[in-house]
Amino acid sequence: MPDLPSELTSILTANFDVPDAEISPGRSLNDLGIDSVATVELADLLQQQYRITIDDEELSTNNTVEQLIGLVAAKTDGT
Amino acid sequence: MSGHAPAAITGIGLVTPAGIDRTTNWETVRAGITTARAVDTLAGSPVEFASVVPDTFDVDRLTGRRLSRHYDRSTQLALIAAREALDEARLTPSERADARMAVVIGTAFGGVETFEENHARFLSGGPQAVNARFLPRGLVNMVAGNLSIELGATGPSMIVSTACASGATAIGIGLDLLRSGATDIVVCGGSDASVTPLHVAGFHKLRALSQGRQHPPASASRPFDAGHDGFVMAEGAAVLVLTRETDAAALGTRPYATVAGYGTTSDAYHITAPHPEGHGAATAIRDACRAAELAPEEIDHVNAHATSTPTGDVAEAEVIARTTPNAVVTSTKGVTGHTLGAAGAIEAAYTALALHTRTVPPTANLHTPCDKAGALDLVIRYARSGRFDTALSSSFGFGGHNTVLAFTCS
Repeated sequence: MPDLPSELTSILTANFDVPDAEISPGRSLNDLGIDSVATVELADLLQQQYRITIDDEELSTNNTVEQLIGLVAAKTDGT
Repeated sequence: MSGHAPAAITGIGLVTPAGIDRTTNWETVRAGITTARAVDTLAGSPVEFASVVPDTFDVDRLTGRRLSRHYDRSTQLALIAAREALDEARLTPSERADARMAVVIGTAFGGVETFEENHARFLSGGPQAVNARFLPRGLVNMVAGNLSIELGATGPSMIVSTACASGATAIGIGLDLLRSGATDIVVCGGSDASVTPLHVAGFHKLRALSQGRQHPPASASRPFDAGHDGFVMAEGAAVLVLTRETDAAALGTRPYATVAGYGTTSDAYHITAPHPEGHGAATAIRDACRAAELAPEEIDHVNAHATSTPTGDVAEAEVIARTTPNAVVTSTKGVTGHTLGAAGAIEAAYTALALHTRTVPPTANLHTPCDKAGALDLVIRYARSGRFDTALSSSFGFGGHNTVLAFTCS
C-alpha cells in the first residue's frame, strides 16, 4: 500500500477544502468542517477510489482521521 | 409603515447575460447590445443558441470553491446578485444581524441542472451513483434557504413560483412582508439557470422558441417586431433590497426608486396561451396602479413582458395601448433573451434604473412594430432620455399568472 495517510489527506484537502495543516490523527471529521452531508460524499469518494464498500454506520462525522485511515486500511488490506 | 406605503429600493444586484454586475448590465441594456449566441452545451439540440451569463462569471473566484460545489448554478447566480445588492444597501453586519431580514426569491425551475445531472447518474449507475448533494443543491426552495444561510437572514425566507412571472411576484410578496411589519429588510428577486438540453427541448416542443431561421441568433429575440418568431432561452438573477422609506432615510441612502404597489391576477383560461383579450393582464395593470395610487394614464414608462412570441407580443401590445396609453414602452428581452423565472426581477431592476437615470433603454432588434404595437410609443434603436416619474414592469407566466409592479421616483 502506498502512503495511505497522505493519500487521505489529499482527498480531504482537494475535495473538502480542509487546509493541510489542520489535519491531524486525533481530529474528527466534524472538527475539520466535514458535516453529515460531506461525510456521505467522502464515503462515496473512498468507495470509488479504493473499490471498497463502506456501510452507513462505519463512517460518521465523529470519526477521527486516525479512525478513517484505519477503516480504509482494513478494507484495502483484505482485497 | 402603513398598508400603502411604498418601499425604497436601496440596493440592486444583477447577474445576467448583459453582465455580472449592475453597472455593466445597465451599460449593455442602455446601448441595446444583444447577447444571444451559440452555446456549446446545446450542441445537437433543436435550438443551439441562447443568452447565458458571460464566462467572466467565475464562480470559484466569486464565491469560493466550497460554495460552488455546494450550490446549484441558480443559487450561485442569486448569491452573487444578492451580495452586490446588500453591499450597496450599506448595511453593516451588526445592522443586518439586528434587523429582521426576509428572503423572497422567484424561480420557475429551481436547481434543474443538479436534478438533470443526478438523474443521468441514477439511470446509468443506479441509486448509489446519486450524489449526496443532489437534494441540498436541487430542491426548489434551496435558493432561498441557502441565501438566508449565506446572508445571515433570520426572517421569513421562501420561494415563489409563478412561471415567468416568478421574479415579479417575489418582489410583490416582499413588499407585502415589509408592509405587514413581519420584516425590516427584504432581499427579493428571481433566479433561473435552466438553459439545458432538456428544457430547450421542452420549450421547442411547445413551438415557443425562435429557431433563428429568419434572423441570426444575435437578432432572434425581437420583442414587438413584426419579424418575431419565438423567444430566446436565457438565464440570470436579480436581487433588490427593499426597506421602509424612513429606514432608508435614516441610513442616509438614496433609493433608486420606490416599489409603490403591485397587481397580481390569473387568466383562469389556458395552460400556455394568454387570454385573447388580455383580461388578466389588464386587470393586473389596473390593480398595480390602484395599489400605487396612480391613474393608468399617469404611467410614464412600461417595461413590457414581451418575449418575442407573436401571440404574446400582440396581446400585450393591445393591452398596453388600452390601459396605459401615455407610457414610453420597451422590452429589455431584446438584449437579455427570456430569463424565465428571473425575468420579472431583472426587469424590475431595469425599470428602477430607468427612473433613477431618467433613461428608457431601447428594445434591441426592433425595427418594424408588429400588429397592435404601432399604437405604442416604443423606444427603438437609441435610449430615450426624459422625465419619467412613474413606471410599470409587467410579467406573465404559463398557467395564466400575471404580476405587474408599479414604481415611482424616490
